[in-house]
Amino acid sequence: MHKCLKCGKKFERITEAMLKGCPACGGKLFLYLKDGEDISAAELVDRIEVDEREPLEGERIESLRILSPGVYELNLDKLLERKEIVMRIKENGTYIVPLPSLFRKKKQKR
Amino acid sequence: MKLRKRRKGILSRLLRALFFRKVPAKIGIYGPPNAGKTTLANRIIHTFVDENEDIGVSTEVPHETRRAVRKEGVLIDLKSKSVQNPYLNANPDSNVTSTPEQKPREGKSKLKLDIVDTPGLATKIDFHDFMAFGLEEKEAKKRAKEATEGVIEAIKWLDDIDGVLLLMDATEDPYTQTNIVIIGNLEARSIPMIVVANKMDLAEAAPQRIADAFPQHAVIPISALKGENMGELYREMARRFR
Repeated sequence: MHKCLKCGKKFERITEAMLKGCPACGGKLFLYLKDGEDISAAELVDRIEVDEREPLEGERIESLRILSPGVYELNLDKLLERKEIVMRIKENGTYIVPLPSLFRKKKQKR
Repeated sequence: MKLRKRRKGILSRLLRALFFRKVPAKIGIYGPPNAGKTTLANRIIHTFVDENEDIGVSTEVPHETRRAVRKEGVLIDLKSKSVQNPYLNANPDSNVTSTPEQKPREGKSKLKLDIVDTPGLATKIDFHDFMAFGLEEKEAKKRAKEATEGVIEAIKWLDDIDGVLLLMDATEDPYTQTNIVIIGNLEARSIPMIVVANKMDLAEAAPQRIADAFPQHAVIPISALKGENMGELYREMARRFR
């Protein structure tokens, strides 16, 4: 069973008209429900589990984190491993990849 | 095994002699902040180049060196008198215990090197740490930024380095993330290294702890500040970085 997440109307099977949106309200999001199951969009959101655990040192993808102005956390493992630098600014999850660090060629040996 | 090792040494030395004759090996001095990297670099320069020349300023404030500095063509001469007793003239009343001289085990006693003094490698740089040393907030933040850039620069230099002197403070616990990460990475890159247990002149120094922590590597206890046991370090350098 398919349920339109906008108006809540249920459909037994997908029809061609539904490919363009819900025939009743035009909504474009449908949820597949198993037989006898009913769930609202709000409940669905509650079901999503967000992994808020801070990743361990070795799992971090960023090589440099700027926690606040003047406070830096360096991931030596990643810095040593890779050619490029991935920066994370503060804790809000903004990432910066300085492009020159990606394109810099290895120094030529004499 | 020993034979194969030696043969490989001879082969690489022959290749080096043929192709890289005039290029001295670049030796990087790496380690955490405040381990004494600049003090050691200055000591090497004083002994073999010029007594009055400094590669950098060493202070007790961490991250004093924030740019890698290279000194080219340092001629390490194991037979020079200054190696036998480096601080005889400069510091007559210090109780330097010079180790009895042994003949270097291998061939020549001269070795030409480029010495690179690098900024200290750290996993966290916080400007508050500098403010504890009396720096203004603005200055401390600037220093933190430069120190971070310095760490990245030091790591970039590794691509260009032929051997590493990994300096550790013998008074501190060697089992730090920084030390373990660096050693693991150097091993993966097969860069020859000598672990140097610095500050052996201090009473709380425990060089043996470092030797126990990294038994797969040569660990040489020294005091870069007082010039203790430098002869042994130079001999080990001559052996490994030739």
